[in-house]
Amino acid sequence: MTNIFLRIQNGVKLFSGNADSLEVFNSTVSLAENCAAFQMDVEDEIVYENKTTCYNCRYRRWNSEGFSCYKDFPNIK
Amino acid sequence: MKIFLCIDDTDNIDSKGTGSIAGEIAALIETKGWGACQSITRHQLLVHPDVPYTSHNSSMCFTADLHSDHLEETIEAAIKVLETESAEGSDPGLCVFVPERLTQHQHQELINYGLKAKREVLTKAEAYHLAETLSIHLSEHGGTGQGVIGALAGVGLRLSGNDGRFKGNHKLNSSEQVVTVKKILEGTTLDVVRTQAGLVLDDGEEVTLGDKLKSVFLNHQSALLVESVEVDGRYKWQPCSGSTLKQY
Repeated sequence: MTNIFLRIQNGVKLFSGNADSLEVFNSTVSLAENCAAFQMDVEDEIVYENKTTCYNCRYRRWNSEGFSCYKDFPNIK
Repeated sequence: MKIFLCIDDTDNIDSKGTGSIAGEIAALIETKGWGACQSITRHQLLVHPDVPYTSHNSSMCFTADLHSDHLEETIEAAIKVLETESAEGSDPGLCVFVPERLTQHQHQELINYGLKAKREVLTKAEAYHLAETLSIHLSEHGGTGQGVIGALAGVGLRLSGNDGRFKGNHKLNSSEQVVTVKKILEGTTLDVVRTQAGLVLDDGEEVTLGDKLKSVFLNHQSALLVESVEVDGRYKWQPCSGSTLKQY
């Protein structure tokens, strides 16, 4: 699997994109639905209710441009 | 007396959240009969490479009306909860603030610190210096103790009345999907239904709701943020999207 919103920054995979864009959001849904490591974060950190998306995953780590993944986006080559 | 209690940096990637621990402290205060606690708010702080944080860098704060002779017991109990419940590798910090002990100029100083923590990388030394100057309880309970920065900032942001999201959701006991503002306000603890731009919806306006309602802290009120959307040529109100909520 590949993803056009992922790039490498300082050796770390970084997802960036505007979550208001349906294309970007659906991309995080696709990543999460195909990810064996996905785990819903604690309620306080969830803003997209009832969605399986990287934005709701406890292994995403927010940064100023988007987020990285503690599991290194396991389904991305 | 009214107090503000805020904690930060209590979790690791696999542990329970800081909000849960804040909830445990609040429940303990009420169980012991020391006072009544209000809702918990989550305050987003700066996300920056120079700031050590697990995944989101937020602190959790609540206010309580405390019987004044239980202040010290409350602080001691909160410390005990932090020491037993914080995750391995975390850097917990605790701040307890009694607003009546300070002037409004000093309140403003604390708010300024909170706002600064959303924009700049701050140090523990700065946090301790301000806490000492204002005679505010600030303490660390493991790891690097970095959590004192967010704990102090969270108090300032809660005091501002204009920052953060409330922990938990509002659940309206109604099977209807389209509900008036009046019914929403009567059926929840929400104070207001408004847009991000500041328009307060009248009681008779109808809102199309989802399962759960998340509120934000604006103008010292619990606010449901809604937006106007056009569907088949008609405008309707609906709760703002997750990306809007994420800004709070």
